[in-house]
Amino acid sequence: MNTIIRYTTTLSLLAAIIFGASAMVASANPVINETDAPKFLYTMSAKSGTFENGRLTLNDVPLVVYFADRPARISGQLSIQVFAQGWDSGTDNFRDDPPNATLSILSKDGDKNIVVELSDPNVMVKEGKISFKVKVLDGELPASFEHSTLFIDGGICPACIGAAF
Amino acid sequence: MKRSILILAVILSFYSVLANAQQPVVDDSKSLKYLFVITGDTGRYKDGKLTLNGTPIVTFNYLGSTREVGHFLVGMFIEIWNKNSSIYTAKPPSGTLSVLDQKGAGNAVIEVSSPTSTLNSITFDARVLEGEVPNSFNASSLFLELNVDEKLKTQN
Repeated sequence: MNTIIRYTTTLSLLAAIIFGASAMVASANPVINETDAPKFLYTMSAKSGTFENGRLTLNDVPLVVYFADRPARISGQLSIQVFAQGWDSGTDNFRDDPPNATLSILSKDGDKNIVVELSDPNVMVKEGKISFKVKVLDGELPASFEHSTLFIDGGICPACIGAAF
Repeated sequence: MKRSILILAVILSFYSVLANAQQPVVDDSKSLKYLFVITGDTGRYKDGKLTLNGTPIVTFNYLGSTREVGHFLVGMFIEIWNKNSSIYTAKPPSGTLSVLDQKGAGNAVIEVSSPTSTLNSITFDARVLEGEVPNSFNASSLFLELNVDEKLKTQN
């Protein structure tokens, strides 16, 4: 009888080890789905820009650079056309959930940051321009400005994943 | 009894190993590594010199434990480089030059040193370590990981 109890105890302990270890390994290697996919921060720098009739236009934007949020370490670049084409693709896209962004304008007396919500992107390929309909959330957007960078928060970028450096 | 104690010891050591594997101790308090991105609308690579044109702004992303990004004019990048030049002279940094064309992005790994800039361009002494860099190209980005001696001012 003692032997049976000892074996039962041993088996229970082994089961506990296997179950516990499986749970820990599973949590260390989650199944990747869209909700687990890294979110990206997009940046686009412009030599100049304007704000007119509710639209923000950035001029001379060579391309869009992206960084994955931590802990993923993915960065790369997209043309402004490809960036705009991805605006309404996927289930968690920028059309359904317009992103917030910070427009940071460089100036000699300090950087000026304006928080905006972006929608309806329009790319003028030949001119290297991109414009957005904007809602200003914080700060004051000047009618025209020079060197600036738009930091766009969040968003999944299926085209970016795997393009790591 | 002895066997139970032995099994418990095995369990504890097993969990200890797993716990350590999942929660590595990372001390990045002294590491100020940033990813700098310099974009250009045109560029050229000739006689060991890499030049990116149309590059007034450099963006950066802190590679530490917090998300910190920002930007500045290319002249500030040169100032930061010169301030930390002893690090980069000892071991010239390498980065990835990604060139966009109709087919997508072509990447090359290059070692860079001695940057100089004008208002709208930056030039490095450059050596291609992997891949190919065309003599002239259009839109491109240079991704450079550099250590700096103090935190950079960030925008968000």
